[in-house]
Amino acid sequence: MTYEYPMGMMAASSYVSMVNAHYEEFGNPTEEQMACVSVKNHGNAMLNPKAQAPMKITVEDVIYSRIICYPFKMLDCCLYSEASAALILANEEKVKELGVENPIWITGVAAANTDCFIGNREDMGRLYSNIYAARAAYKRAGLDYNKIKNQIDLAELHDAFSGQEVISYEELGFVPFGEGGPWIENSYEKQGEGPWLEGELPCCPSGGLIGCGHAVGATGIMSTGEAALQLRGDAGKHQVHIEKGRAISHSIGGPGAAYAAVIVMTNEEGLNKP
Amino acid sequence: MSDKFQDHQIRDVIKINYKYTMGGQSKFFIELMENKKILGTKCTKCGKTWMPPRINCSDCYVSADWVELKQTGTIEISTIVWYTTSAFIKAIPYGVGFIKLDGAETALLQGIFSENLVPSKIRKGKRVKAVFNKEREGKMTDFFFVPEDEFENWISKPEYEGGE
Repeated sequence: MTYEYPMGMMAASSYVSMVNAHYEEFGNPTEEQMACVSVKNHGNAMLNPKAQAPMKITVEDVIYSRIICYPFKMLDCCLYSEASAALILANEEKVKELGVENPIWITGVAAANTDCFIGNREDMGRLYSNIYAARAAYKRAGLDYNKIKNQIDLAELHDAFSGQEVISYEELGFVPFGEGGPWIENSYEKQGEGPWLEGELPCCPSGGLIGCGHAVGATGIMSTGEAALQLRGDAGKHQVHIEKGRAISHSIGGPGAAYAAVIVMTNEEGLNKP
Repeated sequence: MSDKFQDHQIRDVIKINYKYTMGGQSKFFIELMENKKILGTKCTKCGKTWMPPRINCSDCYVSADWVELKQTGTIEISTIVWYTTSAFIKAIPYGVGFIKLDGAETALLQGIFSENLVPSKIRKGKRVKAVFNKEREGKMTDFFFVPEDEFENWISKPEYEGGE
């Protein structure tokens, strides 16, 4: 408030700083690569009846949409919205007592913080809170940060802004640092006109925040619920192929996006898979 | 009442006059306003120089001393804002970025102005220098940064002046 509020730094300009720092270090995400995320998430939302921003658009539509703060355009940004979401949580005993069919088990949860002041961070191009939360959550679930891409079926990410989803691929261990941009571009192109529910690891099959709308406070619950529906095979038209029986949901927030949480979930079959 | 209810609304504004203190950070704003100085703080234990100043070191939790910093620095990261909330919409497009002042170890968020405001002009690594408003109120908006090679042009304008 004292030093940064008077500079007019809002959510988009705050996130774009991190994305620009990443670009300076690795040469990506490019505007085209970020646009792939927007097209993918808006496109996947076409299959999600609860999504608020379903759109069939192209990379060019994103790039020529109104500039918000360089290089984010309007279609790189999520729809700031209002909605509600709910999860029903119960412990193992209660689940057995009630005879719940097809429960989804939470096998790993972790949250982490990094410095709220972006200016204090030595690496402005990455959120260490994402890295710490992911490592800890995977470890609790008995998974490996370096192999996570092959150990889960899907990820519901906090894609408030397209470029930030790209950086999350790296921070959550899907690809090495600096390879997020090329990874999504490649995966996007292979799936042509969409929907983007296949590939090495489907990300935001629901449409994410960009496609569903970002009801701040409720989105973490929505993402977690979406991942649970996927693992139960109840996701409807945007159902991805479930093989390993595991998924993650990811959410971030706070000043400078300093706070991150990662949840690992498993269906009944996934409990016994390596 | 058999009439259908009609709702008549008038758009109005509520104004609130208030003051708030900058507390332990006051010295930064007073020196900025009165002497065109940019003060940081230096930790009395680890020696880290904080900009913006922290009266206590965020790493060691011990007190930090005020130190005057140079008014030149390097852009760490920047963006140009074209759309924002109502409070800042009149200022668009504006450049804003994290600047590491020479001698400081953390970066200050501040406005970056240029006669040719394009991303390449204010990208990482570019050298900048502080320019001050002639009329200062002791606020962050009393100063901003410009590319070093534009400094002389900016301080020749009637409303601005250089510091050092």
